[in-house]
Amino acid sequence: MSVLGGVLLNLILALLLAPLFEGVMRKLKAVIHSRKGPPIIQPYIDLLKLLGKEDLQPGGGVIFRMAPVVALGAMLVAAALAPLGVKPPFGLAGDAIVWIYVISLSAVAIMLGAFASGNPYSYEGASREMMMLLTVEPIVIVALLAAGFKAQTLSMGGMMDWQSIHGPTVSMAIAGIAFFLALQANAGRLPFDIVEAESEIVGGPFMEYSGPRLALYKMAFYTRQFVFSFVLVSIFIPWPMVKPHALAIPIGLAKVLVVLLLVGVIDSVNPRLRIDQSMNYMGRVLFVALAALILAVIGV
Amino acid sequence: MADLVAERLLLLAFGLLLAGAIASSAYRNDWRKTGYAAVTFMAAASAALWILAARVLACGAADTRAFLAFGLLGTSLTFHVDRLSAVFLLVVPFVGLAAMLYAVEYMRKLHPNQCPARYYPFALLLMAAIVGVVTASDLLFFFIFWELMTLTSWVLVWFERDDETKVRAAWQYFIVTHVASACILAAGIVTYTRSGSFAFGDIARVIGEMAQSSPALVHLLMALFLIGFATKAGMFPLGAWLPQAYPAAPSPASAAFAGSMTKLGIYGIVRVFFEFFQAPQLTTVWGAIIAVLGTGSIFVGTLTALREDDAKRVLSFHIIGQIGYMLLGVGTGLFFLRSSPALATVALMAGLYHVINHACYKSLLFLNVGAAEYYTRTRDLNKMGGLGSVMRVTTAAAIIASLSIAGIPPLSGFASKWLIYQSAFQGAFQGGIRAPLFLLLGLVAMFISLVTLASFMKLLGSIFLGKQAAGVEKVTGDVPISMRIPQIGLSAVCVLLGVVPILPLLLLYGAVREILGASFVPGFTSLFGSNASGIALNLGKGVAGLWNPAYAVAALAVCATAAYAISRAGHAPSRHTEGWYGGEEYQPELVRFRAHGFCLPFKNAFAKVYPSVRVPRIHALQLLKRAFDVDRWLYNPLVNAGARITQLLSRTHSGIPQVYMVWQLVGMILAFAILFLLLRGHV
Repeated sequence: MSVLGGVLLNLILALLLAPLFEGVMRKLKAVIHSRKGPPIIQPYIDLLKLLGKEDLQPGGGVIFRMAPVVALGAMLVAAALAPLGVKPPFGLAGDAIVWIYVISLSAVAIMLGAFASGNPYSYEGASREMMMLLTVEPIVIVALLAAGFKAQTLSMGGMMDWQSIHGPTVSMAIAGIAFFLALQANAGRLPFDIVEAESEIVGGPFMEYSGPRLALYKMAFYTRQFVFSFVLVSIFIPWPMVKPHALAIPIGLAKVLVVLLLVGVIDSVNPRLRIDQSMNYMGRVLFVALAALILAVIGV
Repeated sequence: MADLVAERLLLLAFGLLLAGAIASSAYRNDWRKTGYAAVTFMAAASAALWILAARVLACGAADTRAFLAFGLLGTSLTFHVDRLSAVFLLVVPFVGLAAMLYAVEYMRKLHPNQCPARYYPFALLLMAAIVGVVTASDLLFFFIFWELMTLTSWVLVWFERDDETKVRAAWQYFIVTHVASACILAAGIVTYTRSGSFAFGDIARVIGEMAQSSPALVHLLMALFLIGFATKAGMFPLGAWLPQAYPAAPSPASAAFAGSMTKLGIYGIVRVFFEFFQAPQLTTVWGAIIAVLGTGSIFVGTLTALREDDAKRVLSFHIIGQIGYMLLGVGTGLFFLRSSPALATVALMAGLYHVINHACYKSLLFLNVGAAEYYTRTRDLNKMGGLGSVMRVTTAAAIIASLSIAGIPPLSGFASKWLIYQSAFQGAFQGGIRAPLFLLLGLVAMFISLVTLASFMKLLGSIFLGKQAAGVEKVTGDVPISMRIPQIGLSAVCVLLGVVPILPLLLLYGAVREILGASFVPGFTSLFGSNASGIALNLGKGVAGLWNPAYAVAALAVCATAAYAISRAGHAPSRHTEGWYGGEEYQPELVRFRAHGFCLPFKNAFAKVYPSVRVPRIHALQLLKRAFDVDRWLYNPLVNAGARITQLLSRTHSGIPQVYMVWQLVGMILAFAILFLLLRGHV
């Protein structure tokens, strides 16, 4: 499959399927809460509704207006750089380090948009977003580095090749566990939805956004949890491995569904943590990730 | 072999800078005339230097004849412009010219009652001294130019004589840099006693001989050189003078310093450790030392910067941090010099690439902060705000510079940081004892890049974004055009160096190839791939990493356009409205978020862990008193350390069974790992 075709496929998967998984998670939450809940396609309906709503601007200038565009754009580029069931189609443009930094470009856009809103709640949300980035990204870096150490390369396609040759190892399993523990925070789900924190800071960085720009932010949020779960299952749990794309992608989607259902269950039964409690927890998960890296260095 | 054209160009540059220094002391009271005269001479000298640099980069190293020769001292004033010097000769005049053009309006507004002859001549002499430092081929004259550089920059730091703190900062700068320069001269004198000459080539030869006969002395010499150059570069713990001295100087002077002087410390380290240091068995030791010290600098410098609320102090601490990245790259290169030539080349190029990038974005940041200071007359981040709505060009430049220093793709900082991470991690992948060391260094570097991002988000949000603060003068427009042009130029270079990395990499490859030897260094396309739009790093074992900024920018543009199209698909009407603070009426000043509160829990969490860059006060009597108080420096610390260790160990017994289970699990994993390691050979 050509590079362009692969990139387009990744983008279409991210754009079309990410809200579906969000809908499944909302339905799961409703089931756990013993209520009927919205239909699975509700996020699509919400996004379509938002696209037509009035766009209110508190005067933040071009940064306020462009921040959601850059946030979603960067997230889509990250989806193209990520392995969605198959090797990343855009892998010739960036490896694991580039992927991590493109995602932080998306976070930077969110923070700049929050600052441009001029609202103290948005500032607080941006501050919390930065702290979450500071404590959670090292875990992702260390886990991917453990995979990279095994594969002797930092390109994600190379890591997947190594996995297909060598099979499961203890260090990769522990790195996958650390990645999964950080996934809850990367997906912005309870107990780590500190950035948005509805009842504390009224939506945080997204507070002043409405209508189509809010739809872009929501889409970026859905794409983020989709891409992170897909990276988890493609690099750390790649089995069963099949050759043709037509089989590999649905199998990947099924695994992502299982992972996101787990995330949804944890989301439904937990309260929100404070930012310092979250930092302590992430410190301990970083310890687990470092243990995985040490095991990878030893050769286990 | 003397190259007449190169010689004439170099002499022309020196002549123009000296003439400019004299000319700009002529108009004693007119800031504008003095300023533009200085800028004209600087521009002409820069043109000469750029032509010289282009010539050397294309044709190879150039020597001039000996202008003064003191045979008795074994020294002579010869200039040797090789490709490394040429790279510096490209960057430094650019930064200096930008800072000088900026200074015309800045100094006129902020220091109208001072005499312009106290600023411009010294700025031009500083540039002349820097040109001398990078082209000298004789240690004594190198030292003379180094001293000239220190003296002229000291006069610039001391510009505001009325402010007591600034005068004290200037004195501290003077003393610390002279102690450091004395170390360099001492090392030079030791080699002079052995070889009878100060020329770089002779020093290299003598050190090579001494490596066989007295390696301890070579280590001492290298330590002296490192102390001297690292102090100038601002490496932790020798860079404590930096956060005092750089904020004290006027902003354009700080920009010129940040863009050129700290880089000369790195230039000195590269020259000494890669050219003089002909001691193959000792390069791994010094490479490890430099890399570890660099990483320590990264860690402490950047975390201390996060706690500061004065804009220029933040930038100065970040210089300490970013110098660490350059030292990490250079140290990694030195470490792998004998074991892996490909990795050594890439690492050294990464360190030098970061030098070029840092010169551009750090001086740009000082200019941005100066622009904010131009109207608000304050540097306190808690008091500023909302300048972005009126100062559009400055804000755009500030965003480009901040994202550059934080290492966000596709800007220049990302390209060099990516290359530094790749060298560190590839070094770790080589296995053995290097794995844990370089993994740790690389991970600290990547983590601190996030802390840099936090610090600059705080800076951007406090100065440029949001709403204008009530406590300072209301700003109605952007800075004058002569202050905007340097910012536009520097930000264009930041973007260019990031989006087209092949350009600086080709230049640096030529420089590194000259230093390490053409037979030692692998081919360019084998290292970086044949695709000119990006880098496909290959150290001989397959593709190690990939970064293609052209494709990434194209993809980003396409995806952002798609996102914009989606947002416009519903044809939603837009309306201006006021911000919402929970439905109540508030005074704007009451609801403004102060810079101090940004990432406050994170700062508090780290308060107990890291040391801050503290400024030592030198009191001889107190030192003696403390030396004799054995209780204080020996017994009590040991007892406290013992008590703390036992306290730490006692925390494992928390009484909660789950914690014990975790410890058991950890112990099991460790035990299995150790067993595996021990028995691996036997099973």
